[in-house]
Amino acid sequence: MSLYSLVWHELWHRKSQMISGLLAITLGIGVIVGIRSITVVSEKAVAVNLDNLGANVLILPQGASVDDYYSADIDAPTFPENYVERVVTSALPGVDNMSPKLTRRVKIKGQNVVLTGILPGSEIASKPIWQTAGLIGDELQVICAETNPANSSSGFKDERLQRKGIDSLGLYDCLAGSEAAKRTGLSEGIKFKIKGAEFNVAKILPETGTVDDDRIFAHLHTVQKLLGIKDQISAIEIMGCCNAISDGLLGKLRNILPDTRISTIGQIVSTQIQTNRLMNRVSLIFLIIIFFVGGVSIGNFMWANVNERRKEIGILLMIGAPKSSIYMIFLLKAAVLGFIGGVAGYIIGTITGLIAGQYLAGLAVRPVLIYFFWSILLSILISVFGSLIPAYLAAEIEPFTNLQEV
Amino acid sequence: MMLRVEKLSKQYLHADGPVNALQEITLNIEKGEFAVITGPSGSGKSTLLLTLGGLIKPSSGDILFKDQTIYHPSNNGLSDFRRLHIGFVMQNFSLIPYLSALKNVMIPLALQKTVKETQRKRATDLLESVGLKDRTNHLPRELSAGQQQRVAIARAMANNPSLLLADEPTGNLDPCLALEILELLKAFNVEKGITVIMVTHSPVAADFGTKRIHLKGGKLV
Repeated sequence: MSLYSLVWHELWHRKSQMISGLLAITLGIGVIVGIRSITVVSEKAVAVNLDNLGANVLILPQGASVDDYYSADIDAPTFPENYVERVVTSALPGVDNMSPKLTRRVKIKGQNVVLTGILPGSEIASKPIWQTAGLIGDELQVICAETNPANSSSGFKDERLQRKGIDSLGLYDCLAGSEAAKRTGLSEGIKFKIKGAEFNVAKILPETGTVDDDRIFAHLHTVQKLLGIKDQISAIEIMGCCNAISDGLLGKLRNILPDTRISTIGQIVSTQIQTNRLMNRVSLIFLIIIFFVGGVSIGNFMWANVNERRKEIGILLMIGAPKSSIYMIFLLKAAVLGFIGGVAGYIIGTITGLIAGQYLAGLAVRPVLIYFFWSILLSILISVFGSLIPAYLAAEIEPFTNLQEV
Repeated sequence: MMLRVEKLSKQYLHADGPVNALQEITLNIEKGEFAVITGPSGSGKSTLLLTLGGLIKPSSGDILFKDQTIYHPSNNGLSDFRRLHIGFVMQNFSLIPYLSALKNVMIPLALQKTVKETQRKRATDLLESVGLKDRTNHLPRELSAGQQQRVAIARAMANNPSLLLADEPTGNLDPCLALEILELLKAFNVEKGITVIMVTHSPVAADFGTKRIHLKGGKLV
């Protein structure tokens, strides 16, 4: 026999009261867990989508539009290449990779093709689909998206190609987009000329369904020299961590590069991140509500319980239980209730999240184990907090109360 | 000297004015005595008993237990006194309804932080000594009134008290069962040397005592 078993016997003796006392806190915890479970999956989905897209922030010269960049017009404005250094030296958190580019329309074998000057290593790092095509060997670790399927599935396929892609894309080697290669009749190992300079096709890129399919990629410094635009670039593509973007990465970049135009993949970032933010706010509001409503509900239940058990408390005091033991009995009971409420709330919330996530948002929600511990901790805190006053009042009951109520 | 009561008074405040439940009671109880407190209703019998047990604080006067005042400044002093030295047997049995007979008897031992196995053995032995060996796992509602009072006596004996205080222990029992309970109390008094103070209306019960304390209007007569 111990205080704990006394509490447990009492709870078991009044099961229906225990369930009604737990209802508010269980449902509250359940709602928070449900919302948070969906939000976590949604955030991961945004992160994965952004990382699959590769670069998600585009820095252009002040007067340029995104159309200018994609059309690679001969007069499209440029800005200095050392802007890359400015961003690098500022050590902004959330900038995973930068790809400076210079794009211009050129003629190859009589065909109009967009020639894009790149720095090979950073370009490949920013394009997951190139990675899976065997252009690199090691997995690319993206800070904000550990679960990126592109990363996890990227495998080394050809060591020679990997070295060729990253280390050995020579000044006159090039990578040809699938569509550009088809139109110009290029294939791997073939040599051809651009503005009089001879290039070697190192690799035909896989089809990506993007503008890259219609481009020829060569070393940035070669392209600058070839086009006579020394130390200038058309754009910097940045792989920004999605959380950093929502934390104001764009504003920070604008402070560093005030004379540029910085845009992002607006739809995904603005809608999904805003939705996630809304979900986070809703769960915060629920957290505050549940803290007070749950606390008051448990407090009310405890107060009713104290009144109902005045005789028992009187008996315990009569046989020598100190006030501290009575106080402990009620706080222990609150902790047990909180524990049960936390576990039940987590289970209800997780199941709700699994169903609601699938049917309402099309998300495959998985149980978040850390919320199990948070649910229990939060529920115990609320329960104990709500029971402090009833427990104190129970300890103040006179020991002869037992006899007055005969 | 087991207990010395010095000029003990207790005054209750009522809307109609103060009520003097006890007025300057002075008495001694020796170790091993079976004292019986008698008197008409409202004479202060129960108030005296509860005051002796540290359940009600007196308005004035003092109670010395083994030459030490029981009214320490802290409430814990009184709960320690009750837990270590006193056993209570009440008219309403005062059992916890959702605990078995065995667990009810184990509570005082749990409050003394006795190890679980010792609690169980002592409680089983006590229930056997009051004739309830085969009722240890029964809840109070599954026991007769006489059996419930036996459980209450076993619980009162659990902490091996020096003083057993009984308030109308046979008040809810028929005469036959009442006699059994009185014989049980007497047996503990004689065989274990436990001092017993019992409040009763019953002349039959009063005859079990070795000392009679008669109250009238809150005063010793």
